[in-house]
Amino acid sequence: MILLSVSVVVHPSPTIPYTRIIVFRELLDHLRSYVKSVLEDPKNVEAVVQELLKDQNTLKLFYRASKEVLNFSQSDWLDALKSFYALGEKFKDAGIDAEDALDIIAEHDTWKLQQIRKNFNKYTIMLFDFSVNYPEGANRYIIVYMSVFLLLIATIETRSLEKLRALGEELNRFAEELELYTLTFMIGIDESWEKKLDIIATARTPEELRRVLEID
Amino acid sequence: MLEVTSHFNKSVKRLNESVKKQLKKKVEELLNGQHGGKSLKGPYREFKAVRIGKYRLIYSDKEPCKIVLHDIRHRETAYIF
Repeated sequence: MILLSVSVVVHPSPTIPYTRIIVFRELLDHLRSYVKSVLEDPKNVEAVVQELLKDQNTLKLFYRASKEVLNFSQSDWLDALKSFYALGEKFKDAGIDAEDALDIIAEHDTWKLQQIRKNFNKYTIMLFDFSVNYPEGANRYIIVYMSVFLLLIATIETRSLEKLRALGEELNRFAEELELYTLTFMIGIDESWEKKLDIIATARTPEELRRVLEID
Repeated sequence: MLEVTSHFNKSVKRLNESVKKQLKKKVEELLNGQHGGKSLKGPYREFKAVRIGKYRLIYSDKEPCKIVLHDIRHRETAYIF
C-alpha cells in the first residue's frame, strides 16, 4: 500500500519523520529512469514495469517504503489522501476526468492497509491462496499495481498538459482493472459472502423487477 | 430472467430510491445484453462487476437469458484508523 504515500512524500507533512522520508526519496531516485520512460510513452508503462520487476535493488526499496507506510499515523494518512486527491485537479486542467480512478486507487490502498492492520492473518492467507492457485492473476495484479504506481509518480513529475492527458487515460484504464482486484480480494476475505448466494427471488416481468429491486 | 440472492436482497434494502432507479436501468441494460460488466479475478472470475455511480453491482450471466444479481457494494474509502 504505497500508492497514496507518493504524493505526501513530494509534499511532505511535518509530522512524518525525516528518516522515513529518506526511504521514499531513495526509492524515487531509483525510479527516476523508469518514470522517464513512462513519461516518454505512457502507453508503454507495462513494459517499463516488466523491467522494474527485474531490478532487485528498487524492489527492496519498494518493500522498505511499503513497510514505512504501515507506520503512518492517522494525520500522515489523511495528508496523503489530501495530496493524492489534489492530483485530480492536475488532470482536470489537462481535460481528463480521473476522479473515479483516484477514488478506486484510494479505496484499494486504504482497504489493504486496513486489512494488514486489523485482519492480517486472513488477508495474507487469502493473498497466498490467490497467488498459488492463480499465478497468472497474481502476476497481472503486480503489473497493474506497479503500473498505477509509476503513472502516479509520472503525474506528479510532469507539468505538460499533453503528457498529463496521456497519463490520465492510462491511469483510468489501469484503475478499472485494479477495481476488479479490489472487489475480488474483498469478496475473498469475506467468509460469509459465498454462503449468502442462495436465490431468494426471481423476476420475469418489469413489475416483478420493480418488486425485487424494492422500488416504490 | 432475473434472479437475486439473499446477499443482494440485504444490500438493496440499504439503497436510496435514486440509486435503486439507476440500478433498475442498469439491470434492464444487462438483460438486453447492453453494457456488460467485467469479470472479477481468480476464483471469482465467473462473477462480473459493473459500475453504477459509486456502487458496483456484482452479477453473473453464465446461463443464456438469465442474470443473477449477487451483491451491490458502495466504493469504500472509509476511515481506516
